[in-house]
Amino acid sequence: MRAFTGAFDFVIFLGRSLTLPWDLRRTLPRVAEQIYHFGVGAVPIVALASVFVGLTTAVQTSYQLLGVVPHYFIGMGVGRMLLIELGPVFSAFIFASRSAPAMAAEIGAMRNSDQIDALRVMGIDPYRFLCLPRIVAATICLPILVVIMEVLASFTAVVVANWVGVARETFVYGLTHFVQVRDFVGGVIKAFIFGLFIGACGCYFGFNAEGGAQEVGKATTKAVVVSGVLTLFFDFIVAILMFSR
Amino acid sequence: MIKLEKVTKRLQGQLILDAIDMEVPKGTRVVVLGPSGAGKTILLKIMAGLIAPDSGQVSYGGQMLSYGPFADNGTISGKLGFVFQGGALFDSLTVAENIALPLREGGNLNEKEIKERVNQVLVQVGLEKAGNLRIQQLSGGMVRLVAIARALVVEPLYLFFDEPTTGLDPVNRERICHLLSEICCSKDRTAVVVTHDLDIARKFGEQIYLLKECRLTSAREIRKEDYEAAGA
Repeated sequence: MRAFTGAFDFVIFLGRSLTLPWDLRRTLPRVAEQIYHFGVGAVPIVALASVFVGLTTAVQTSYQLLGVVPHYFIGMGVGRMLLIELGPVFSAFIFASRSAPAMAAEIGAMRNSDQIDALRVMGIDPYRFLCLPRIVAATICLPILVVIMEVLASFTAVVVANWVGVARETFVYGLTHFVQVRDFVGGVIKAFIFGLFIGACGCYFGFNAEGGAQEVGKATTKAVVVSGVLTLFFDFIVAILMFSR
Repeated sequence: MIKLEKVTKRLQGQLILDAIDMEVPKGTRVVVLGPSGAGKTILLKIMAGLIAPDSGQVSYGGQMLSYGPFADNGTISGKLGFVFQGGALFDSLTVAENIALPLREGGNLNEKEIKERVNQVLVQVGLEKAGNLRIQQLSGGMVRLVAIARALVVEPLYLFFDEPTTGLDPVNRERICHLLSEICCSKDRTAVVVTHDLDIARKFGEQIYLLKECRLTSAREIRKEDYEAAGA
């Protein structure tokens, strides 16, 4: 029952945060600030993770398929896995573990020091001032981070192709000739949805973190956990809608 | 006039406010005394529309306050000023930026007018040289003064003060007492102070209430020992 009321509250919160009008003159600079903070700041860790994702995917795919299917299938498998699944989901997990708790902690601290109430008394809408820029920034940032991961991980996989037993030309052939636009678009659509919900989770749990430092700590944990669960849930939903036959 | 009718509030099952009725006439300075934990801050936040009561209602000149995420108290919200106990200032902004925030985010003034208005309130609270300081650089007394300046900058009709002198040294306490009397002398401005500082109640309050055991009692009924208990 608590889960249902919580889900209902979350939907109301998200709707309230995204309610129009957005007052773009004031909102856009704040969105840009958050994009810098959560997006640009996440590029190094996403880039580093991409290298390992590319390496591991190439090694694992060749381990499972080498000698079973034509070699170019390995390039195809790596490419499509990265675009459809691994790029969006890994990036989302990294982004969720970095940004959602930061948002929850920041907004939670503001809640506990009466700053959110102060905004309301000043006639400033805290949803628009605090939550909207973070949610929009997360929705914009994550697809870009996903593309960065897909490109870097694919490149890394190509670099190690010879080492895993597939000629580089054959690997690249599989990677470039069998990957469809729909794979890429599907991954980016996932990233938009993941970004929206990760941003919303960070803001929602921070916004409701009343009761001192302990509650802020709980809020950051919940923000990460629920972001992760929602990422997997929407991954499944998009998979059904876009990739099921 | 601010009017509270049968306002009741429970927190985690515990009764905090029990069917509180209160009327604050326009231009009046009201002090609510009470011991720590009596629910004074809750009462003040309910009056300002920041916390929803479990039952009962609050109205400003006949207009009921609404609560919840989609609540719109349009004409009322721009007329309120609230000085929080801890200041509730934004650490990432300077003193001047904190004070200018409600004007920049909600007003229609241009940058020059905003700066003039900010300087005006800084002079009023005696912090004319502190505009460029960060919040971390301020003393406890200065934080209160900046919070008062930020509340004043929008020229509110209703001012709420939550323990304005708690934790301050005698000099700053006296300074804030004097400032409160000065800024609330206007007949149009209604002020509500919650405190357990008896001195501020005597100097500032035109109407004094005691909040004890979830109930409000008006000053005429408060006995000396109740005052002492409230100040303890």
